[in-house]
Amino acid sequence: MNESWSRLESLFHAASVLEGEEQERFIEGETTGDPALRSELRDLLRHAGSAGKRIAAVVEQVAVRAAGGSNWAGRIFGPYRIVREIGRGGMGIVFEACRDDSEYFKRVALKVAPDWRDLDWLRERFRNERQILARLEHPNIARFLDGGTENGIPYFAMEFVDGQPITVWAREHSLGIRERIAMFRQICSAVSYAHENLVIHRDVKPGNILVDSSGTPKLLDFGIAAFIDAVAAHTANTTGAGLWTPDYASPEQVRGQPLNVRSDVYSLGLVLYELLSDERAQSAENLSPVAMQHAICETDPPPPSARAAVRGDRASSSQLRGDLDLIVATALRKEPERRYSSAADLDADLGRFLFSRPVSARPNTLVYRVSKLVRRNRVASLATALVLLVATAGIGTTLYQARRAERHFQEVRRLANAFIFDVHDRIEFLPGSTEARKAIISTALRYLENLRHDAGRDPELIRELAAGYRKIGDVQGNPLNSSLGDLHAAMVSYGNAESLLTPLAAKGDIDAKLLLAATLEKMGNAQSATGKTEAAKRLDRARALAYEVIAARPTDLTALQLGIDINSDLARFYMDPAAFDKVLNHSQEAVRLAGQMVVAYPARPESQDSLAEAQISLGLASKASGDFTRAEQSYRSALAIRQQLVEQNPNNTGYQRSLLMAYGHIGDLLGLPENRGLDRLPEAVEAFDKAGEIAESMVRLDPANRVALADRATALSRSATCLVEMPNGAERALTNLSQARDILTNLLKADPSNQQLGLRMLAIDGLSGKGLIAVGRLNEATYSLERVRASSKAFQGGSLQALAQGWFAGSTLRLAQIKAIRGDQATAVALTEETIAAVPGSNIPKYSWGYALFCSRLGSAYMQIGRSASAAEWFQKSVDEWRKMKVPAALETKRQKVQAEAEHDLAAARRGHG
Amino acid sequence: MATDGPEQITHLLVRWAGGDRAALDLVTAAVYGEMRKIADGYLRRERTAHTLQPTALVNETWLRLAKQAGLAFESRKQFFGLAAQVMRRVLVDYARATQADKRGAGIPPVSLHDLQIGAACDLDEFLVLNQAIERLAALRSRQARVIELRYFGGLNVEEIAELLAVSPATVSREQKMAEAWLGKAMESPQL
Repeated sequence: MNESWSRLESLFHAASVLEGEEQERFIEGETTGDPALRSELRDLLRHAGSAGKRIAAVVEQVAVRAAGGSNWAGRIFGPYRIVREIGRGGMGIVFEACRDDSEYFKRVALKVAPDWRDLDWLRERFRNERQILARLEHPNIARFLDGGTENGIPYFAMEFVDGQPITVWAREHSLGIRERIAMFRQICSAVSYAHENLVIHRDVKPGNILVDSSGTPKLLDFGIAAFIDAVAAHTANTTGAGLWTPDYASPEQVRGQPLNVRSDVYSLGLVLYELLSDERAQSAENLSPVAMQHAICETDPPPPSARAAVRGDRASSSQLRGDLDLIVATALRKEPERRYSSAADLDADLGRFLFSRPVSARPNTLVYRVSKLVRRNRVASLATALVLLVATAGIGTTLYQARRAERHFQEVRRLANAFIFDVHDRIEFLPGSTEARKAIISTALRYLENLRHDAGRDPELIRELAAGYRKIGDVQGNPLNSSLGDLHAAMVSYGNAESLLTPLAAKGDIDAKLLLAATLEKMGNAQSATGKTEAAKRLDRARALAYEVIAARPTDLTALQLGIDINSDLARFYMDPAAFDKVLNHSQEAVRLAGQMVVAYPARPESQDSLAEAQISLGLASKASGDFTRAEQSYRSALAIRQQLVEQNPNNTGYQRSLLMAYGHIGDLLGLPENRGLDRLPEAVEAFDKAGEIAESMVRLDPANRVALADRATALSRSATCLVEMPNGAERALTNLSQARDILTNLLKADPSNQQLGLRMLAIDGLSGKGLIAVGRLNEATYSLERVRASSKAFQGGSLQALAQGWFAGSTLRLAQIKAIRGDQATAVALTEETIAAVPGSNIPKYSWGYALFCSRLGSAYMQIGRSASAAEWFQKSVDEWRKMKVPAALETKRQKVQAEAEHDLAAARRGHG
Repeated sequence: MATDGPEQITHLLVRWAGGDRAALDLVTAAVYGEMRKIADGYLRRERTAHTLQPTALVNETWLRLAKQAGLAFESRKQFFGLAAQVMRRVLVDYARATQADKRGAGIPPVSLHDLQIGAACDLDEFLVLNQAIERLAALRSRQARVIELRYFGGLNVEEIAELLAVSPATVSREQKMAEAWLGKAMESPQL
């Protein structure tokens, strides 16, 4: 079979290039002795030329019919027979039909809705509405006659109006302004009548107002729109997009809000406007959702008189100016409650105008505009635009040609970015908006995902996408902003940005480099908070990229700021003795760049902010290298700048947090154990308390702000750290610690894997133990200290292990002291030895002040349990540390003092032994 | 919760491309809905000319679906390859349903439109053509595919060649042969 086909085929192709006699001979020759083959071949050749056309025609015919383009004429619907098609609308097809068995209403307009076939619920609904609609009898309303279904397809029969739209009619008959108003008033009265009968039209527009040969305007389609809305609600087409015409839509329709009497008033206003100025009030076809929403809900049209003036029609312009402009404006107010409350009121005011009576319309006052209402509208309108975006991008029902489809895509892209940048920037610093931000973010993420598919290799789009992801990451978890604290999600978003940008940056794209640097910075910071060391690598990469950009663009604000930030971050990051020079270097770099920025842009608060940050950075570096004087100077000048910034920008939560941090730095400088020698604890406590106050006020404004909560806990516990060292400070310390504990418990519940939080909890318990001992509450102290010992095990193997073990050691030692006080020698000894064993793996470095103090404490502990030999051993170690220690000048006096004390203790221990 | 229309179609098409035969039924209905709306748009615009190229329909559908739902297809051609099949299936179902309805076979019509009470001979002719294509497919599947892509998908010779990974010359030959064969088959249908 196959073979014969192949043969047939090759013969066919060979023969088809031949003609006439030649072909015939060929056929004869090749098919000798095979008549079947011959006739087949001949058949094929016969059809060869025309088959293609025929196939196309057949397919097309079916397609046309399947698509609904057939001829309806003669089709029967109920008692009506279709004569011809008049038009098509959102609901279906409009025909002229006739009814043979009737005296009146022989000619009807028949609306058929094939799309609504077999919608049973519609039939129900219809039955209810039909009576209401049929009752509407008014000279200016096209009478609703009947409705039903035929073969499941619903139809509506109405009085047939043979006429033109009112605007066209007015133009063709050269109606003057007063005549137009008079005609319009008839429509007002029709609408008013319907409203009294509880029917809203919903779709008033010139196309629905036909003027017949006798000059009577008739309003069509009363109530039909209600069905359209109902059907729309049943499908996913929630905004009804495609079912109303943008040019004639009311703000409520655009917002997806329920329609009412005043919506009809608005629509009437649009018709009046067009009648008076021969142009549409709003033009919103083919606009993007945001633009459409802006055009309809926010933009007032120029008054009719202005339109006339532009046309050069001075006579009309002067007639329209004043009362008529006002009447139209009142009907077209964006806020429904400011329009005429009914069509009748509109009608009445027009009547007053015609009779030269004062009208009731009032102009829009400036006060009304400039108010919270504007701001409220803006937020609401952004949310609206979002709804429109979702609706349009999900289910487009308008038809796009190739170019339009492309434009739509661009709009989606622009809109997504608008949301991420503009919208978000605007509400970034508004307190209390965390939840709102969450909602917008998740939607924006969805659109970014969609755009990612099409990103391809377009560098601009890639950068936009990456920037979008970065911005989202900022909100999701960057602890440097007041944010929602979700670090995992933030890292994912940042990671997306990074992978998008890296190839572009490698090719030398400066903008991509800048964005990548910024993203890496954010990632580095986010990671450093959870204690990972990849953070440093990222920050270094970021720095290198940022410098490349600054080299190429020396006054680029973003690049400069980024350079400053990265240097500051690195300075903070390398905060350990082995890296002092790095720290100093980065801090000085930061200050240098900040200076460059202030010089270039002196008026910006952000320049000041950067300078303050750079000085903090320098302060930290100075403190680390022992120059406490310079450290304090830097901190204080940073503090002054920050206080000013908060004063001048009271709503900026970022500045508030920075001020909080500045206080924190001062507190650290003056109050932490390693700096105890400065003896300025009360000032430290004051600074921490101030920081805590700021954190508290931020929490009050936005209870979901987890970062502020964490800050408050930190401030409280840092303050407590100082207080326990002060005479009579223990009680207050314990109060602070208990508050901090409560906060941390809640925070840990929501983010249990956050090690930094866990460590702070450890510190709180440890400090509590110390404080409780100081006030003699030994049982409670025991409980806290045991908790530290138990919890610190959780940090084993992690990057915070050393710190946790430090707390473990300290707490174990204190516990030993309690046991000694209670006379439990054996346990005291065991615990002391456990402490000693734990020290090497902890964060208490040898040859440091802390270690020396620790040795002394061990010595004292041994004394307490009567082991003076061991005590002497440890006191000796302590003395050795003090002797060898190199301290900054500020601490020298203190060191000598402490060394003397240690030597005294050593002597006493030796005496005890002997 | 169901996804939006165009996205759903995308998923169905992808599933079908991956071999899920059941998805074809679903996507047929879904794509048909889309095409109908587009067709309505056409016919609204061109009141007098009731001509509608099914290929134009497919083209429009592609544009809408591609841009609105971010179709995963590499290119227009792949989509058309699938759409051609869908289109054909859609039309066949419609024709069958209409015929069955009229003959009172008791088969409820699918949610397509039954709009014609006039002569149905063109529907019959179409069904004959469809059956002929099926028979051709059994003999030479690629030739049947060429016909499908050309007349239901609107692809030109080059595009078909690329899609089927053969030379354009081959496509032309196949098309010519297939057309002739189908022409003959339509004349003497073996029902």
